[in-house]
Amino acid sequence: MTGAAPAVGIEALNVYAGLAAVEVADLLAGRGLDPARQDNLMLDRRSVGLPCEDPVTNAVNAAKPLLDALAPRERARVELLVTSTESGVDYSKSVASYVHHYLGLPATCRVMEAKQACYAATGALQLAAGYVASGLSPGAKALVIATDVAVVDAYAQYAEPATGHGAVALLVGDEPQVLALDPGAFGLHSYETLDSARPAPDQDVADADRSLFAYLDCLDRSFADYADRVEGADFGATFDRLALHTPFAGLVRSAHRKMTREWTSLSPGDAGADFDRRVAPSLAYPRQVGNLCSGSVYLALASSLDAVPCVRPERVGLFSYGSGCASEFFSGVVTGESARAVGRMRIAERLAARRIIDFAEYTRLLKVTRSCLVPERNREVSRELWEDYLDSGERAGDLLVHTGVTDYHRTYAWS
Amino acid sequence: MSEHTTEPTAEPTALRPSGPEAEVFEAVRRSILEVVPEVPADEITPEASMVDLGCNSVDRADVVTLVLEDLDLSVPVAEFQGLPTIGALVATLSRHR
Repeated sequence: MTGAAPAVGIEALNVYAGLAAVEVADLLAGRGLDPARQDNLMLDRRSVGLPCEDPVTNAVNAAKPLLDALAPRERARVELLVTSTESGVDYSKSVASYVHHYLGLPATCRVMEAKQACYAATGALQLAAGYVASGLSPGAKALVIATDVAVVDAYAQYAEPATGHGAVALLVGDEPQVLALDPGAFGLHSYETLDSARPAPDQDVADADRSLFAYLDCLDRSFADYADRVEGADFGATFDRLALHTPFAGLVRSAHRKMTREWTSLSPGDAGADFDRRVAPSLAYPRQVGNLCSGSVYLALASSLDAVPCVRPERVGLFSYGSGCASEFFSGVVTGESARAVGRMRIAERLAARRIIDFAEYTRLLKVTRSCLVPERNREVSRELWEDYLDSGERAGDLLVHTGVTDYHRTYAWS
Repeated sequence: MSEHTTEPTAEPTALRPSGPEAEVFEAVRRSILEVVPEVPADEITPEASMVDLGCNSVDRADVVTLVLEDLDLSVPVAEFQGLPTIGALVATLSRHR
């Protein structure tokens, strides 16, 4: 961590987690799954997509409030847009191309999509931060948006209640009010495995053990690499807060237990208190939303800042893991201003405003939404059918909705 | 010659490994009982699977983590995914000792 490096990181962060949610207890009961497993999952409810939502609308609806808060001359400096998704809408045309249009971003902008399961947003953040820090275009900003939808059905068993729906938008620049990245403070661990994948637009496959074990190994090994690069790094003492990729909160609890055993001398009792202090605040939103894929670690960061606002500069340790697999442990500094900047997005309020639907309504929606990524030449999405969802709850402004596909071109409208 | 034949009066007691693997088996047994104390100790046998004993995927990861620490082994936990029985776990652990 050299003092001379320019401050670069996340200037603004917003979460969009849909307009509907289902109680995990209702979903487990509806599928005939063991209700006792809810304690292990540590999930209360999860976001549910509507037929008029897709990865494009989620991304736009997450990022629009960030751009609306910028002055025109600042918007004109967004020189890079990356959408990170495992819910691509086409093999060639990116989600970002639509997002670029509906956000009204300048034509002088690099536009692209990144894929590496639940890791890609962090890879994109680091590459964007490197571009901003390079000084090649002083004052440039980048927008990284992690966006996904759920395509799982009953076949996914306990993964179904853990899968979320939504997007997280990160504005990256040299005024990092939300998270100032520690320059050069990162650790990586990646290797080939097939622990989970999406081999078809409406099919997820997962090997639970392989994925959990890979996550745990990657956390350990990426932190080891971080510790090799960062003088004096100490898992127990360096970080005031931790925000980890959260497929389900129960895994994060287990991962923290493992890391404290291996990297600290804390007793099991003290490890529990450490979990409550440094990790539990990051799990409040993930417990309400489900897994947001590559946005998940940033949902956890927002949760930590909203649950326990910081009053002095604090260091956050972050861990991103994406199946397949790639992982990174990195860190940054948050301040009281970080908490205020995230607080202005009213994430908790908007999560609370989601309509809670029952299992019957959930399965009715899923019949349509499961095929939202399946390519079709023409498709109409009748917005009127979902009008009451759009009119419910608190909305921070206009929402983009998906209206269909015409000759393979996806269509959208502002609601 | 008696007309009576000797028949077992109960199910035979499950056999436990002896030799070098016995210590590893004991470490696995201790770890399982620590993670899922509700499991009857005598049901933890080499033939049993952790799934059958009611261990979910997080429990299974916790057991492996604990037993590696107990045996002072530093091996990626991914080496232990997908093992069908406790005996297979013991054999894999033993190879790393």
